[in-house]
Amino acid sequence: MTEIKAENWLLFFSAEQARRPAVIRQILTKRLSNSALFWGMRYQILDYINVYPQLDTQYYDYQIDFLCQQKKLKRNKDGLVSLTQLGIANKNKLKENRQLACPQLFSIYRVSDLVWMIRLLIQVASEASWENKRYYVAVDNFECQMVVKRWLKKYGMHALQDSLLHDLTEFLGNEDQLDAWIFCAQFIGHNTIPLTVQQISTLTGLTLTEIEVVSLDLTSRFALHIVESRSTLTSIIQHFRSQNSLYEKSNAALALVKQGNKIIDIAQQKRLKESTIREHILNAAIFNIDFPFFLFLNAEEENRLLQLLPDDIDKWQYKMVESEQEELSFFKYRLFAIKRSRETLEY
Amino acid sequence: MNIEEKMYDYLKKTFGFTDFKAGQKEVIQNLLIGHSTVAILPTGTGKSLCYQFYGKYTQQTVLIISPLLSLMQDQVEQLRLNGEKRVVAINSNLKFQEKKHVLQNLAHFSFIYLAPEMLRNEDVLRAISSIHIGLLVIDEAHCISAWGPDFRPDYLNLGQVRSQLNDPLTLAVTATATDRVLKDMLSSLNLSENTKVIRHSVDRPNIYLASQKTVDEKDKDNYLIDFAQRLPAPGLVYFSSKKQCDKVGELLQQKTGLRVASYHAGLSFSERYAVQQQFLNGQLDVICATSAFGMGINKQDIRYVIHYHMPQDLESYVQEIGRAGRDSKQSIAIVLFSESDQFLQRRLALRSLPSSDELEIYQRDPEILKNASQENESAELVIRYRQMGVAFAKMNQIFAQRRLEKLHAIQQMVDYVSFSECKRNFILKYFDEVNFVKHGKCCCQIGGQNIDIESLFKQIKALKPEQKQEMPASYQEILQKLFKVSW
Ligand SMILES: [Zn+2]
Repeated sequence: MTEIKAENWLLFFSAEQARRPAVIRQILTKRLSNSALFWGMRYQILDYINVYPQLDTQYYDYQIDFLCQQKKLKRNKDGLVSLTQLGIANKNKLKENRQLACPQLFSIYRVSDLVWMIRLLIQVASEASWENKRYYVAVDNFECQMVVKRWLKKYGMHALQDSLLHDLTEFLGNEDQLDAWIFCAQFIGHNTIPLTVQQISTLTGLTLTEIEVVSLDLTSRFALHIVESRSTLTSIIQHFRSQNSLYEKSNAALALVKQGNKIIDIAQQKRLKESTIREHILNAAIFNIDFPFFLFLNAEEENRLLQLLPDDIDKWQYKMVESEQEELSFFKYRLFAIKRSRETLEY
Repeated sequence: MNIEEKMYDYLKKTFGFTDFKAGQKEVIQNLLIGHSTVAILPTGTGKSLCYQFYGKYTQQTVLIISPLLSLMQDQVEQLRLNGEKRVVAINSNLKFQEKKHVLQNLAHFSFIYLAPEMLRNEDVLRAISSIHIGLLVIDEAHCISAWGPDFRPDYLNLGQVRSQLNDPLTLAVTATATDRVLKDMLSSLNLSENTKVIRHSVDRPNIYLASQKTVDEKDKDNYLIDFAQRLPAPGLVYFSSKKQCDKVGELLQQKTGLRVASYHAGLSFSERYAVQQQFLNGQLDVICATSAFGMGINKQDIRYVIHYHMPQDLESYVQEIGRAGRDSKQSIAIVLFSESDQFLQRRLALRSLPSSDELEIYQRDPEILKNASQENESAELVIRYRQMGVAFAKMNQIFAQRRLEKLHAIQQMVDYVSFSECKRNFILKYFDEVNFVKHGKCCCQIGGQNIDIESLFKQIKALKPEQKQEMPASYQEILQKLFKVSW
């Protein structure tokens, strides 16, 4: 992936809500503590989990400082960052550029690996279409090579050619003509030499980042198309599903709670700390729209919290309720923050 | 058929060539009668064909020790490009699982490329000892000699490794070796007296040799733009840094309208593939590259090689310009140099080796050494020597020697670019060749005289830069071509 230009981070900031740059980075790279998830929810950027898994922390911090120097972002005394007037104008311009249509797919699939997988499938199918067996495998990825070998053993080369061409034409038929071309111009095949990102950028007048975004966007949605249309290629795509242990653990804890288990019992059963189970449950509250808040918070507690805390949830701090920490634990406080956020944010 | 006829027959059938290039036949013949061989053949003479031929012809496994990652990758890619699937590269790029898989199935491969540092890995050593090696190839064999500018410490143990593998038939190949380096090669590898040495001149008569003094980078850019506009394409421009490679490449494209792409280790695999293929296919006029480019690339009609920075030594210079004019037609090699180049090269050379003071500190405190090795290559080098059991005092000696060698090599390069007589004879003398050439007008530029490009290339028409890259077909057409269908 080409290096992300500093400018692009403006998309993740707002003029009204001061945001913590580290939270944005944690969401983009899937370093997910409950706190990161909670604030990610407050910033409404949870769809962007794992979109830039390789992001370099130091470089990102440097880029944010750079944007502050350029007066596109401003930093308050607490280290929170928001857009300036100049920043808003730049963000609006950026919004006209190509964006990921389904960023959520990046937390479900390893999209950057799927880019190689699809290119390899194309090359293998293309060479076979021209009945060429002696060729140079131009995708240097062992995992992808193993996956395609295994699939071919089961389904055969003809199935690959037919399904791939069918799925591609069906999918690209509904896409913007230029985007479809950008996607295909990077394919390698029999007597077909790909263009570099730089060349595509020069030819189309789009930026390098935009070209990358189009490739990733179409790759992710093509993968989704394969799965949704129940193509024979589905198993290949499913191989690249991300391990989402955080999500699974959270749901497992939630299921046990729903069956009437107490946190202390679940902790013993799983041989984990109670605090860990609580964190799983907090995550589940963020992930699940129908989370049963009533199991942990009663009306009286909610009322008390409402009295103690200001209207703006972003301004909440646990120390505001600490006087009653006997009754109102951090767990309850955070759960209530999630519940209130759900009620006030659009989802 | 006698053996020679059989060889020609096999060459045609397997590689599609009707004739061997200079030296290839002799090398293969020597190997076939079981003589270990040292082949000193200039770049572009197809040294790799020698062992590929031997391996396929005798159906034996060939183990190739290759010191440069990029070189290894290039050769593996080249073999795969020719349809050879039983080829593998074992180097630090290999992920753990991949390596396990490869080592378990090692007998399955016909060509095994191995990075020398992998020989320190027990599992790797055990795996290669357990299979029959028909031919051991030491690529870039001059790296074995501390006298050469490219000395690699991991090559020190190759003699020992060779005996561990029961002294298999061995082929040591290199493009250049002075007499001193050759002697070192033979003794380090424990090659016997009757080892055959096949040596061809480094001279490439169809490459005109020139250098251009410049005052600063701006001046360099202007000269480069001027040369690229007047010289017939395709051409290669070499840089010492990735950053400048990209920057100057972009400038060159803007100013000349030529089709320029840059190529270096910072690009992704697929980008490198795209650039290589476009270049081979005549879709690019100029490639701006770091030395990572082109080691396995066999493009016959490269007309010029320009060095934007003065190289570190004549060995690598001669190798890199050897990519020009493989079709024997008139070509040219130009070094752009400025006073500051030699300081840059000296700094780079000295930085890569630890000083006596540093060694003393490292010896006293292993913890400091360990930490330093995380970030600087000279400390990492000390660690590698320690792992090979080299004492600090000995290391100090070696590094002092290496520093002298490197500075000497840079000085030779400086002398070459500013030499006031025949540059070709300068190179021949450097490589201890006994035959000198008679200087003529297609030989080289003497002193600072102007390079008369027009009369040098009057036979070859300069490419007009009108051939703008046009927007290729629609996506539908791309798919139709890929899948050989029509709608
Ligand atoms: Zn001369």
